[in-house]
Parts: sequence; C-alpha cells; structure tokens
Amino acid sequence: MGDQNSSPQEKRATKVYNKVLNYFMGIALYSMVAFVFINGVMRYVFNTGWPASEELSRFLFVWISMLGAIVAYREGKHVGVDLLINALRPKAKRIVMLIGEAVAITILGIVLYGGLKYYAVIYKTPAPATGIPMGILAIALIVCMVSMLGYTVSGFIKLLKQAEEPKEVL
Amino acid sequence: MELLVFLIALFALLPLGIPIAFILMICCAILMLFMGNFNSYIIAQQLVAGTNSFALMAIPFFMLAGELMGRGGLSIRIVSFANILAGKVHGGLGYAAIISSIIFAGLSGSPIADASALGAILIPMMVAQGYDRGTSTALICAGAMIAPIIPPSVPMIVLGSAVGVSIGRMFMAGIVPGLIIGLGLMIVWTIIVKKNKYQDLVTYTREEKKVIIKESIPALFMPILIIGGIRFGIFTPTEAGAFACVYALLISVFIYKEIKLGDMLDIAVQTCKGTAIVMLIVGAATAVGWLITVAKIPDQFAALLGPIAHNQLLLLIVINVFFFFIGMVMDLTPNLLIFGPVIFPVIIAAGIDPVYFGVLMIYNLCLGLLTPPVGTLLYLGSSIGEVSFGTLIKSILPFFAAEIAILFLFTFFPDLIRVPMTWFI
Repeated sequence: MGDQNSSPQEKRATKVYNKVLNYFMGIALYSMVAFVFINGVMRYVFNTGWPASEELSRFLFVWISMLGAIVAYREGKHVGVDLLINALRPKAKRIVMLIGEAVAITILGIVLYGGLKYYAVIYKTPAPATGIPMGILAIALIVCMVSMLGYTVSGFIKLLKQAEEPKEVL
Repeated sequence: MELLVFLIALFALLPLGIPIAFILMICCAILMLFMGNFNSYIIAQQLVAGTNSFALMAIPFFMLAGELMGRGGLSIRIVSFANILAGKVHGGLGYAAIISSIIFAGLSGSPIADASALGAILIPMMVAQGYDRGTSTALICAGAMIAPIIPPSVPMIVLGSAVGVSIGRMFMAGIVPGLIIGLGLMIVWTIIVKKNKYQDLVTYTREEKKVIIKESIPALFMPILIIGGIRFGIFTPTEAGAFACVYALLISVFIYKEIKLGDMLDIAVQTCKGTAIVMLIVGAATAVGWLITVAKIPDQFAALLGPIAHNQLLLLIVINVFFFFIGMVMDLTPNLLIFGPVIFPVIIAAGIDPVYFGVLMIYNLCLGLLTPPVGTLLYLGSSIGEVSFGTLIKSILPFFAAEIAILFLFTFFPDLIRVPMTWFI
C-alpha cells in the first residue's frame, strides 16, 4: 500500500504496529521450535512427554499464521491471479480492482462477524492440556480480519479518490 | 450440481486478482447459500481449525531451517562440494548445479527457496564460466523441481494432512523419483555441453578440497538426520522440522559463524510471512473442504468420471492432463488443497496406491511453476538471473521436455516410485 496519502501520525502508528507484529512473530516462532524440540528430547531421553508443549506450540502456530497473513497482505504477497487485471487498460483495471476490493471487504466482514460469534461460543472453554481459554484462537482470527479489513478499506478509499482525479482533468 | 456451482464461482472470481484465500472463502459462502446452510460461524471456525494443526507446523519449521541454512553460509559450501564431485568433466559447473539442487532439496522443502538460494550463487558463477545466461537460469529453475519431491517437502506436508496420507511415507517415496529427475536433467545438460562445446573445468588443490569437504560435512549431515530420524521412527515430520531448525541454528551460529542475533529476527519474520501465505489458503481450503464433504462432491466427481474410474492407467492419464492444465493457471498450494480431497477418494477406490499418487500429483502440479502464465519459478528465475521472461521460456524447453518425459515414465511405470519406496519404509 502506498503511504503517500497517510498522515505522519498514521505512518508512525503503522510503523509501531509492524514492529510489534515482527517481534511477536519472531519470539513465537523460536518458542514453537523450542517447545517441540524439548518435548522430543524429553520423550526420547527421559521417556516422559510434556503434553502442554504440543498445545502451546499449536496455539502459537495459529497466531503466527494470522499475524504473518497481515504482514504478507500489507506487502501484497498473497497468492492471487493478477494476470487478467494487469492486461487491462488503466481505466478498466481500476474498475476491476474496485470490484475486487469491494468483494474482499464483504468476505472479510463476513468472516470477522463469524469470528466474533466463534469467540462468543468458545471464549471460556479451557484447552485440554494447558487450560488456556480457547478464545485466544478466535482473537488471532479477529485481529487478522480487522487488520486486513483496515488495509482493504483504506486501499479502496484511495483507489476511489484516484479514480476521481483524472475526471477533473478531463 | 454443487461441484458446478463451486467451479463457476471459483473461475468467475479468480480474474479479480484478489488473494486466492479470499476467493476460497467467498466460494465457501456462495456454496453455503446455494445449499441453504449459510453460517459465517462455520467459515471462521474452519479457518482456525485448519491452522490449528500439529502436522502442518512442519511447514514453518522446514522453512525456517532452510532460511537459516541459506543465510548461514551453507549454500555456498554445498556448491563448492558439488564442484569437487563434478569439476573434472567438461561443463562440470552445470552438473555441480544439479547436484547442488539435489542436496539442497534434502534441506529445504520448497522449490522457490531452492531456486532463490542456489540461483543467487550459481547463476553468476555459470555466466562467468561462459555459459549462456538463459540456459544457466533455466537449469536452476528446472533443478528446483527436485526440492518438493526429495524430503523434506512443504507440498507433501500440505497434501498429506489434507487427504490423510502419511507424510512420512510420502517423504520416503520421494527420494528415488527426486534422483531420477536429477539424472534426467544431467542427460539434457550433457547434450547441451556437447552442442555448445563447453570446455570448462573446475580444479581445486588437495588442501582446498580438504577444507571444503570438512566444512560441508555438517551441511550434508542434515538430510541424513531428517530422513534417518523419520525412517527409524525417532521423530515425526514436525519434530524432524524442529530438530532441523536447532541443528541449522547451531551450525550457522557456532560453526559457520555467519548469522547474527539481528538476522535471526528478520529470518523469523520472513518465515512467518511465507508460512502465513500457505496457511491462509490452508484455512480457507479447510472451510471449503468441510463443505465439499457435506455436499458429497467427491461422489459427484466419481460419477462424472464414471466409466474410466476403474481403469487405473486411463484414470491416471485423464487426471494428469487435468492437473497439468490446472497447474498452468493456478498456484500449487490451492491446487493441492482443492483437488486433493476431491480426487483422492476416486484414486483409492480405483486401487491406486495413494502414496504413489501423492508424489505424482505434487510433481505434476509443480511443473506448473515452470509454465506460463502463472509460472512462479519463471518469474523468480527471470528476476534473479536477469534474463527476459521470453528468453527463459525458450532456454528452459529442453529441461522441461525431460521433466515431462519423466512425468510420463512415472505415470506409465508406477513401479519406478512404488518399488524404491519399499526400500525406505
């Protein structure tokens, strides 16, 4: 997403948010490795497992997947078929992109709503091995959907504004 | 009917250019509306359930191990080691590139990681040796095809957990086919060397050789650790991934000393991004998969294939042709996740070995990474090799032809995969 139109505060907030995401993902990923590694060693050497490790690492995995998805989305790295829209002329391309963003906003909204309902159902349910409330998984999804929705809406608004400018020139 | 609705929605929305994971979620919503059981709760729940998987955790682990190895100075040592093996023949560097691809395939599970790590080192070396730039890049791209076949393999983890086929078994089944692909590429390279009269030789002194071999031993030991550990039941593929990370970290930090603490965060962020791109599709495909089961789409698909469903060879040919074309227009992960659960029941009903078929399916769909219009490896290759897309396509043709020939071999002679598989399982 281009940052030309955003205010300095907005830019700073984005920067801080990214930094938090990066550190969280880094720590989570290495912790996952450590949990699984330690569990493996314990089972093999001491013949005792560490049941919590499997669950903890899985929950962290959900979190890094959801947070990583936000970062990848901001950088436009998610896999899509952009062959057709790249072949279109600028005016048609803009229209197709607007439709695409509108569709994206709709589905992200639906999933966000579903995520909230999901949270409402499982927020108190304790996980079998660690007792961590399962709601923590729904929160990862909600954070992911809200962030993606934010980026998409701001992208959509920018695209709308851009679309108006050439008309004024004409 | 549900199959038709799903496919129409999928192909109508794809050209919008939005992430394919979103499109899968929409297809899911549309399919639910069509079946009259729309519920946003289920999409959200399935998205989380799809990512909440111990087996799939092997994906970030092997990605991380590959990234640590690549940046920790391991790739260059593999290349030097391969040069010792192949340097004494004409066109030796080309053979070394293929050997490097095979060794690197035993460390990384993704063709993209393989091509970017080896391409950055080998393409400039090959061009300096006087090889054609297009051919050098093509060789790296074609060699990257070995990465998803030789274990570890990210596509095998994705497919195995989506269709319920043992990931460990698929890993073992991929070893020999991966070597066969390498052999096929070497044959093509021999012809190219003869045609272009490449005369290059790479020679090392005894002392240099000693140092290189000594330094590359820790790197070469890693595939043995992974394959051996899974084969002898010491650990699951996911645990093997965690062990590989610890191992890669130890040798990159303490033996090669090329990774600093600051790099570790960056490497982790790259890994998480790469993981998330796969996992968002996995999550969305899990939701689709749930509906596919509820709508009994595999039954509809089997009915569609009706008369050929019990002729193994004919079935394999039809499915291969379909995969080849779908691989051209869509990316690997969504293809595995959408078509895997639909096709596997038919395959198993026809009496085809699912482990064999898994390897075949992944190989076929990976070939789509080398074909326009959506050839991810071609785009990557043309950017790291600094050649035009058109030149690269032309240069890759002989290698691609060999890989297609190997696909036919695997299809017509399943024993090429099935028999060696029994040596490892």
